[in-house]
Amino acid sequence: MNNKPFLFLFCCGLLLSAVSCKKYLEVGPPRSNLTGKTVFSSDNTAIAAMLSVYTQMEQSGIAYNVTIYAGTASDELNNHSSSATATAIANNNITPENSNIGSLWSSLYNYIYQANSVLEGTTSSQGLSDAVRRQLQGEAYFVRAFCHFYLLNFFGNIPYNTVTDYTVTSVQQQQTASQLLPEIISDLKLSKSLLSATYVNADNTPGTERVRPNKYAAATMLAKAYLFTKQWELAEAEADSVLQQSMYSLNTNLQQVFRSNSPEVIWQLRPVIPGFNSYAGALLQPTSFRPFFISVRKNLVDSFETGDNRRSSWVTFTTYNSQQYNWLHKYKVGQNAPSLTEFTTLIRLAELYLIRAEARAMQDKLVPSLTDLNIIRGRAGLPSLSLVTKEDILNAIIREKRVELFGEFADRWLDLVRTNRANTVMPLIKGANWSSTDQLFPIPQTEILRHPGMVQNAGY
Amino acid sequence: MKWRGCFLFFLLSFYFITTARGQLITFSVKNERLEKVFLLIEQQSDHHFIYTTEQIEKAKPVTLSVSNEQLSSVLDKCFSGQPLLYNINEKNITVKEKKVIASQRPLRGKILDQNGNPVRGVTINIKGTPLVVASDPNGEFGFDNAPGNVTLVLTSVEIEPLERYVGDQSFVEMRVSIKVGVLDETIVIAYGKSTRRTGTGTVTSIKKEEIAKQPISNPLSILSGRVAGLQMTQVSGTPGSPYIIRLRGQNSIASGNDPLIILDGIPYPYTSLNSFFGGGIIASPLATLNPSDIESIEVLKDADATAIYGSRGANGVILITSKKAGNNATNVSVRSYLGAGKVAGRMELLNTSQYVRMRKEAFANDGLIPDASNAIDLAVWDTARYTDWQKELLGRTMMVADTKLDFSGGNQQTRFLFSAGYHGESTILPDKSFGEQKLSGSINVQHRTSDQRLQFSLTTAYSRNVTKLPINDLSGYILLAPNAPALYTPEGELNWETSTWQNPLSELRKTYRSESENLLANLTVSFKLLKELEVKAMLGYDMVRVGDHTRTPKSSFDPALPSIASAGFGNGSINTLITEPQLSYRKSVKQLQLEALAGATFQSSNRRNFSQIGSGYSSDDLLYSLASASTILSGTETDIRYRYMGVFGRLTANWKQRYLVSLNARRDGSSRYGPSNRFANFGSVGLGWIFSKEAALQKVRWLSHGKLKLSAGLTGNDQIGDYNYLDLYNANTFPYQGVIAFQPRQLFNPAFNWERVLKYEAAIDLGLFNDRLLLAANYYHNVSDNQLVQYGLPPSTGFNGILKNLPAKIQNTGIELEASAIPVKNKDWNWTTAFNITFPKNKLLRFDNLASSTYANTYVVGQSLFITKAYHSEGVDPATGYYRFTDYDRSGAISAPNDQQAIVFTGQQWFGGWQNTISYGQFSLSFLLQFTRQRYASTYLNLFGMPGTFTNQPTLVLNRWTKPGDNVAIQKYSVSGSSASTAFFYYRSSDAAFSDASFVRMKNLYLSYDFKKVADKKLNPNSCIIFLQAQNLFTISKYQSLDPETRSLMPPVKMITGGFQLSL
Repeated sequence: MNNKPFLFLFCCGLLLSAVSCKKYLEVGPPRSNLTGKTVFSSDNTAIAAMLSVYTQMEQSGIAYNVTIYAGTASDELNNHSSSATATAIANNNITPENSNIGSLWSSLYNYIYQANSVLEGTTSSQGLSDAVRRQLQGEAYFVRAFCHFYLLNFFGNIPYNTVTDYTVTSVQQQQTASQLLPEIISDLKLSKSLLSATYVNADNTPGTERVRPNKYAAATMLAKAYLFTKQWELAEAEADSVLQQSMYSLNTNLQQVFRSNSPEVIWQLRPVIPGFNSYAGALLQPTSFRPFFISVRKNLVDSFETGDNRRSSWVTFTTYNSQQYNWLHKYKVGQNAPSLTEFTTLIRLAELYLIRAEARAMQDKLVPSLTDLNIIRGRAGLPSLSLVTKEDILNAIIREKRVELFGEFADRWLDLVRTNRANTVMPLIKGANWSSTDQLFPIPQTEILRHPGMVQNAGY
Repeated sequence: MKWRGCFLFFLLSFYFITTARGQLITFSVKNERLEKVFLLIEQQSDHHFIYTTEQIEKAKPVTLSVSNEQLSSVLDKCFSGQPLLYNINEKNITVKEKKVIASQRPLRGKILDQNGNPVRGVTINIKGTPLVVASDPNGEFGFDNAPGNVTLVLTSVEIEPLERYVGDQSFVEMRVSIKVGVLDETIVIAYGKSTRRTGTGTVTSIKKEEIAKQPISNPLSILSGRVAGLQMTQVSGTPGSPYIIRLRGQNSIASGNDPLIILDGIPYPYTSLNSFFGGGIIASPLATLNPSDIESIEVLKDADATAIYGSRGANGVILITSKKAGNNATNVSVRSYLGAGKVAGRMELLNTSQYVRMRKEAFANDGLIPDASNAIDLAVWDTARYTDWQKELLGRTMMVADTKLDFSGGNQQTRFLFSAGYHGESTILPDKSFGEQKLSGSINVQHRTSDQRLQFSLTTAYSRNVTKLPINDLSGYILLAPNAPALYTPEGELNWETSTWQNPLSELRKTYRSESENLLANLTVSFKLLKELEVKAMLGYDMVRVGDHTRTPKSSFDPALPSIASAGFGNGSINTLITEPQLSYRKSVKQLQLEALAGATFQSSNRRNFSQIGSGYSSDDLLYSLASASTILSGTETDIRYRYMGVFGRLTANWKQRYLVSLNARRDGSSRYGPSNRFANFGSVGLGWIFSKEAALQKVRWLSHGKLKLSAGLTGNDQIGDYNYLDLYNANTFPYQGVIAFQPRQLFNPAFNWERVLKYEAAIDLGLFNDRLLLAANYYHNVSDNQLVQYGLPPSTGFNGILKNLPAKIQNTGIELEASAIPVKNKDWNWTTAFNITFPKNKLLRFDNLASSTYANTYVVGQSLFITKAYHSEGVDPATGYYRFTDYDRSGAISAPNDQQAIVFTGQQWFGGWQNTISYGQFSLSFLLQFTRQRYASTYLNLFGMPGTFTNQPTLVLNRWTKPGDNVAIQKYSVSGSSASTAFFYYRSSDAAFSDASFVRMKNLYLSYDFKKVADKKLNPNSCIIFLQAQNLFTISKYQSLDPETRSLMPPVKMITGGFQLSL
């Protein structure tokens, strides 16, 4: 046998392989993913990047979770879950390791990251139409402000992130409320200027579903933020700008306030989980047994005035083992309904009346304030109030907010803390479990461990 | 005390060795009586002569001078010209008279070794006659007057005894196997073979004989306790549960510390392909392999042994070699065993009266009144009922069965091996249908041309594993209150006790079933171009496929509550294709042996995972069908392509069998890195000096082998996940406004670079008393830098981390001591023992800006990576009854991280194993004791809740505070008290939550009896063994929880099996 051909072939093989090395290692991106560059190169994919935030908000049940955490931690809801993390929240005994609170923190910051990546991607991209760019940037500023606003309210001093670059955000220092609110307001103003009044579909054509924020969603959040900065005049003006819109009106049927076609809705999340309408509706439908997760506290039920239609429309009463349970029942559509009719509602018109009422009262515009309050009372079937002092009116507004907005995205919790009522109200409910520092949740332990200079809230 | 006892026993074994003698014989006699010569030989060897005075009378006087000669050659010289013959049987030399029997015919023959070289000095006896001759230097022998129809019996101290029927042939050629000492046994190394005597790398080899002694399912579990430097930790006792394997410590801070596992030349996947949890764990892909298909497992440790694997050698390499066709004789062997097992760990938990007292005390302490809303166990459940949940849920006897059939044969040119195996085991869960079943089959065919230039070997192996487990791990339910309700209603239905509890048996209805298959094909062709030059090509293909299926039927839920039936369907596969062309050159010039190897690797792997979840079934019977689900969701979807290539070379030189040099080099490329950082160079130098061959030491008779080794080299790590350099967006699962949205998958870093490990090693190997005692001491010093890790980031960045090179250095040093010995070896008794112990040390050498990094509260420069920064517990405050902690920052309150200043070392201080085999006649007993010294390991506190809450507790909590002034270990019981919960939470993260987890475990015990001698003469088996095996027979530990090894609520199983092995 002649060996030379073998040797020659072998050497050729080695040589060839050395030449084609670089090529051999090219595997391209995985087939199931897009790269950042391609995402922002066209309108459709860029919109898809923004929609991901809403998908995840609804999929993770953020509104439901926030409602339950803040509701059980405050004076709204009883906890029936045996989970240790849920119990700790209900007992105002939260540790920095609490995984529920930890995932609330990290998911809100993840939405902020995504909003920032949309802002960066749409700014640098050449392939987008102007209309889409404005729409997406307006939404991104809105989401960024919205998430920071709730982070501030739950966790106190937090970092305000405006870039995706982790080398910046991982060392971003905490800021106080007085530093954060102007940034939130500035983002909301930008958002309001970029967004139009119309709601849009996924192809950026005008749509009927109010499942992405528009100009007035931004205005509502602005009005809300001005309450915190005590800029009453501005708060009133922003609320005014929304209340004047004919596209919004209070829904006269209390059973249908949270419907997708409800005229009261300003911003909703579209259902994403198969079989679910709203997340809360899917999990909280009354049964003939003990509630599995939560129920409405007796003292909240007792605080409804006689004749208040909201008591019978939004709470369902059952008895099990001779114990009475009050089901939180604002969302009426449970699982596996034939069609999608009821969506998770994040912002609705009723709140704007109450924001304006408070802003007006604070400016001593007592009569207009009372008018706003009575509009909400009237819709619930209650007689108008004729209070005279500012203090009485303000107290009536807070009480009204409690019965109007209970179980809705931590509204009560925010009011208790903002108006310094928590330390008076909460000890009556929670007894020795309550301490003043419970007004803020602990910053998650991983954040403390990994974020240089991060200071934990007092009491944790 | 127990430790000391072990060491004493070990020292004893040394005593036996030192009293034993070598086999080389030196004497000089002149006209001496034969009897006197026998005496001289007896003094210098452990052999005894059996003779009669009559025989000695007939002997001629002897004049002979021998120096350092083998026994057989001395005997040949003594008996030459004598009217006597000798026959060596074990330690006895029987002297016989030469007799002349009726001559019938001449019989000639030749004796060759496995490689065809002649073997001299073999005693050949015609069975049933006193006729004995010895083979000459050409291996030839001859009987002038052999009877007909004979069987030859071949014996010698250097060969494995052989009995062969030759009938009436007049010329026979017989192959014998040369007995090899441990030092000269072949061990598999990277792209080649070596021996312990002349190798420069550090390699531990485990042979199939060892593997056969253990009734195991995962082949890697054989390694625990047997390999110095290798730490094995099983995650849980659930079948299929993966091992965490660390060779010589932890080189990488966050990820990628697994050794490279190579199965017949093909890198084996270390990431699981399963889509769902089974028994609370994700199964290891290695669980598919059948241990009885394995010929040997080699663990390659130092730079010299691993550098040729370049970028993947940093964490060591485990080579698994499957069984290949052996010698020519047709052989059938069957091995089978059956056994049973029970859970090996148990914790004393509170009984009902203790529990109820604890709960009531807790409520009283908190000033609460137990009622139906806050204490179902006290207010609703029967407070007199008692169930031992450990016994009820994890107390069943599991069964194991295993059978293996091998069939091999062939001739000089073509050889084959067929094998088939079955392994089945059930679990300790209260349902017989759970467990795993494994089927395997393999074919190996080898052929070589008559001139032996072209060789060809093809191996195809297939195995299939079916595992059925509940989706969730049931062990968490041992925390149930001991007065929890009955499992069944009187009607035999699951009891839900009016929706007051989650019936643990409902978990058994949520089932997981996985079918995994592994197909491996390996074709190796080699061709000798010249006498010294060989070209070789290896083509390997490995396919692992896993299909898993979960079923969550409506019947597993409380019928009173809303529930939805669902089913998961997962498919995962990985296909690896690898080509390795190699060119090797081997040349001896005078005293210099040179070996050179050059080659290349091209590997391409494609990994796919796809899963779907169906829900909303109208009937539980439809859960096997995805089409019957009203809603179908897609779960995971991955499609990963991985390409890897390298060119490598090795040069080894051996001069005078004394001086050894080995050089390795590799240039590697991996698709896991960004385009600018794909290639890197790695290499090593190994030096060896067999000093015992030096003239000065040749005279030292007790020193039979002595070698010094030094090696240094650079290896890398590419276990970093795929596509991490890309800015990727993942598709969301559900649409929004009719559109599937995309979300950023991760923070990305396009420019990360290779992580490197610099390895140094110094070692000494000693063989004493003719290699009856072998000692090895290794010191290793590895430094890894350029740490490429998933660097944990604060969640406020939007993600939890990013892949990034860290300016950090980690040093792993350690001393590994190994000793193996044959303390007793005589006619009846044989005792071999092997001991290994490792003293590892891990140290964070450098970490720039640690204080401002994400690891500020995790690591300390100068300390091990295995530390926990904990609160310092000051015990229970006798006044208040709550735990107290040291307020390091004097802030007046305890808070993280400032008060987490107590540094707890949670690593192992030393670990090892001690293996013994004692045989007496046909009995053989072997056992492996595994031991670990670890002072601090997290205890039961991290598995159980706060004492007083609605979970059961270990009886340890009875020693609690009840009134001011109590000086006790456990704080006062509480249900939900804020001070108590906070104190308990800190306590759990304090130094008090660690206990000594040192243990000694009887890992394996094997007792066998060989019936060969008493078996049917016609059947004449090679071996016929019955055996008893025991796994995890006992564990000695003070650990405050269930099991010091897994540290989970699911300890490993204690198993006893019995079986037989028949080889014909």
